[in-house]
Amino acid sequence: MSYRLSALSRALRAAAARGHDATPAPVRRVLARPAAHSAALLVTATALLALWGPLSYNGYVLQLVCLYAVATLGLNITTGYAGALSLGQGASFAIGAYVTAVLVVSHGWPIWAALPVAALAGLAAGALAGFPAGRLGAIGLAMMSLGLMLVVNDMLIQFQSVTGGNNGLAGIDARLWFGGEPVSTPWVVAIVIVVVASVSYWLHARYRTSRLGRATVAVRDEPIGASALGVSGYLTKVVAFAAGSALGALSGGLFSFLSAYISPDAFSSNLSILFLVMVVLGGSGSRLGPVVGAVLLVLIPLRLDAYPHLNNLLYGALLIVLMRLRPRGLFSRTAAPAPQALRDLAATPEVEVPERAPGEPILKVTDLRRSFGGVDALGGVSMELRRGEIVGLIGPNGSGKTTLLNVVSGHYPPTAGRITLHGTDLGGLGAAAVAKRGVSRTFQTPKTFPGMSIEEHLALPAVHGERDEAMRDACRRGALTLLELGGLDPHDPAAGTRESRVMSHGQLRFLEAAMALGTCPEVLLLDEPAAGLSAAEIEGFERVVSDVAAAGVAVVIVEHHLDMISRLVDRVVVLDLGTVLWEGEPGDLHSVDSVRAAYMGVA
Amino acid sequence: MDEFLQTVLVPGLADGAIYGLVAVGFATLFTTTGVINFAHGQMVMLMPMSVLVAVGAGLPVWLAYVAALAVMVVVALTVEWTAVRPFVQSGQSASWLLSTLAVSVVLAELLAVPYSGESRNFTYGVSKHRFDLAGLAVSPAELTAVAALFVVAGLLVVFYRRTRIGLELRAIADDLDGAEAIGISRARASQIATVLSALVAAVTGVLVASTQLVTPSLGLSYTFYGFVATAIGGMGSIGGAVAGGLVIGVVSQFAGVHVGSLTVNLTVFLLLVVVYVVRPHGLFGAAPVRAV
Repeated sequence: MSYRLSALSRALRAAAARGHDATPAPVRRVLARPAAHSAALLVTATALLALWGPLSYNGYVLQLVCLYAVATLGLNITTGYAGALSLGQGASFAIGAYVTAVLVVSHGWPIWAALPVAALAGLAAGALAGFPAGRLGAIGLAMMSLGLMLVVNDMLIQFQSVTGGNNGLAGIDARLWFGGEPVSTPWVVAIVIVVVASVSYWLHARYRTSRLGRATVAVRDEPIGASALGVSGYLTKVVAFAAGSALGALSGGLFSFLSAYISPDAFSSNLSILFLVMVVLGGSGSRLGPVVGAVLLVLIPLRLDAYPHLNNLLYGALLIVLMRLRPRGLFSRTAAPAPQALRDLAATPEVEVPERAPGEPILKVTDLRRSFGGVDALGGVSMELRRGEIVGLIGPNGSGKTTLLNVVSGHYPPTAGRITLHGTDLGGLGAAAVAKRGVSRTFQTPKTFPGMSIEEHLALPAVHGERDEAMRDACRRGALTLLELGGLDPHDPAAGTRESRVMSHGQLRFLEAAMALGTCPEVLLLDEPAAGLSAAEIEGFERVVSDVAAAGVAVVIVEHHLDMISRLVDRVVVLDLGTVLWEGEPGDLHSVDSVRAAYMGVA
Repeated sequence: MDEFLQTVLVPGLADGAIYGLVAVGFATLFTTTGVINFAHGQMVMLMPMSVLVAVGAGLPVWLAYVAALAVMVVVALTVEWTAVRPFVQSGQSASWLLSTLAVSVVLAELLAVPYSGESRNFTYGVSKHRFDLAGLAVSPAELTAVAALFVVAGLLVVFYRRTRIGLELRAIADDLDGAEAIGISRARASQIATVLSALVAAVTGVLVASTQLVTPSLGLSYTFYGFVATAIGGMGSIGGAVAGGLVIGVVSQFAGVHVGSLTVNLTVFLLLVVVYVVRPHGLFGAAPVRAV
């Protein structure tokens, strides 16, 4: 059975690939655009609506699917893109529904004015909930949103003079002007629902490919790696919460118009869970998944309406099975294209590599200390780094090499001491702020973003501040060479869809280093870049580091390959037990007794 | 002052003891597996519901309790297999959040089957008839709840510190791969932790039923209250769970009496917000030392 299923899926994939190859490239590009999906959605839904009529049962179901899809797309921004599991989408939905209902029933507002206000109310509620929640992990967010849902349900009854309490609100009709007569045709509401769904799809897909969306996904996948590229996490989460909640409220507003009567019963906690299952089933973080999830989970339960309890049992059971067997949902690909970044990179001209000549000092570390509990990982380290210089940082395990990098890059605040870049103090700045000032780094285990495409990885780093043209080109050229060394062809059409989760360790290392060069840093910190690479790869890597240093990038390299160190660096700093043991030219390293004793283990 | 003691402190501490027990149940599972069971509130409700159904089916009360405990253990092991074990100390909170949430949906729906989800009176627990104790009217159920909180928490602390199995559970929590390498079974540890947590839920359930009507749909609220207690106390800290639960009980009772019963959830929610803004790791929790 499973064999046949996999054969089937292979056949489907092969057919899809053939179809893909047979389509001319310009057509392919148009079809891949979110606007094309959005238009297709609009045309299909309108055609079906014309076929069935908005008042028919099928027409009603279609509108229900469309409006649920809006809330689901919103939740996909919060949960899929930002990775913040929200149990509160039902609360946003209820807020939107009630804001709309009150505006329409009590104040006679027209449909075009009530819906945007509902969305704004959702936006505000989402931002308020996201503001403290943005600092929390997934659990805190889930609980905040769960609490919000319980509170909103209470408030609907508490303020019964406005909301009608348990009796609800009736007579939610579409008007075209303030205080006007309700329109008599059901087409107005139907068309609004379909158009809003189509526009929401476009907005949601556009969100993903925007700079903000890319940062959001990067923070979801690897917050520490993102901070090293100057992307800070807090705001991406708050914005995702607000945007998702706005779409949820908009969807609730549409629901008010469709059902013309609302009461608190319609907004139980199960609604939030239903939205969540729609997103997870469709594929959390994918662009098409939420729509498919909404379609399936509106249609299937309608068939089961005759059997009580079965519906909710089905959601629950479905979610359990999904988490065990296919946790990433039907559409599991979350990568998005970002072709511009690779095109720019590939178009970089060849650069003339000048002689390496270290210039003026730019990074200065003075008496830097860092302790963990009672342990002094750094016990007063002072060193200097000059423009265009390569410094090798060596020492036995536990000597404080990585801690030094972590403190300089802002991942740990120093316990005492000063770090200055061009004379300005970096102490106390967060990792993202340090990165934006021109300090870039790699990690011992590459920190890449498993759910993003190769193109997106390269689109993520941005150059902050002024750099001269030659240095910029040298960095880009270096990044391009690194990609080629890692076997990542910049002209590969799959670069926009292939996720880095399927790539090998060596490839990730090169990709990470290419990202670090993508910021065109003034100071580049490399933490054991050669670990796990072959001799030929190490040699290529050395050439790139040497070339960017020649262009003016100052490099600190932590490494255990002593022959690599002696070939590459201008100066060696030996750390032992958190202090500088020796400093000097790599050629003299082997003749110093104290270094031999501490590091090489010979007397 | 007496008024405050009688209307706020006594019922508040009794409720708080129950929230504290829910939080202790969370902590029991969390310390070993790194999973918070969203279905714990339903597990709490499952105990009195099982007793009610068993008695309704004609079993004597003592046998009904035995049957209900058996149901709790079986359900706990099923939950463990489906929703906990795949995610033990995985660090991927989204996965277990969803899987245990899914279990909570299924359990909530099953709990709504026997009496169409309506509230039932439960007369097989501790008496809720109040008597006079030093000028205050308190019920045996309220006293038992507070006593049970401290006894259960104390027993668990001793279990984790003094027994070999408790030590193994903590080893799994600290370093899963290391613990497995020296022969501690992840599956068994996860099973033991889940069953322990279910037994805490069973005690909680009887006490809930002894102080109020059995309402199956309240499971999710108990999960939330228990979690806020956890957030106040600090993740995985049993002492923190006790303190957090009592704080919430008194604060929410105060809001219920002096502001209005519909503001209880709001008050607890605001408490959660304040904790997150002021002390994100709770009173007794510690921020991780190394992140990179």
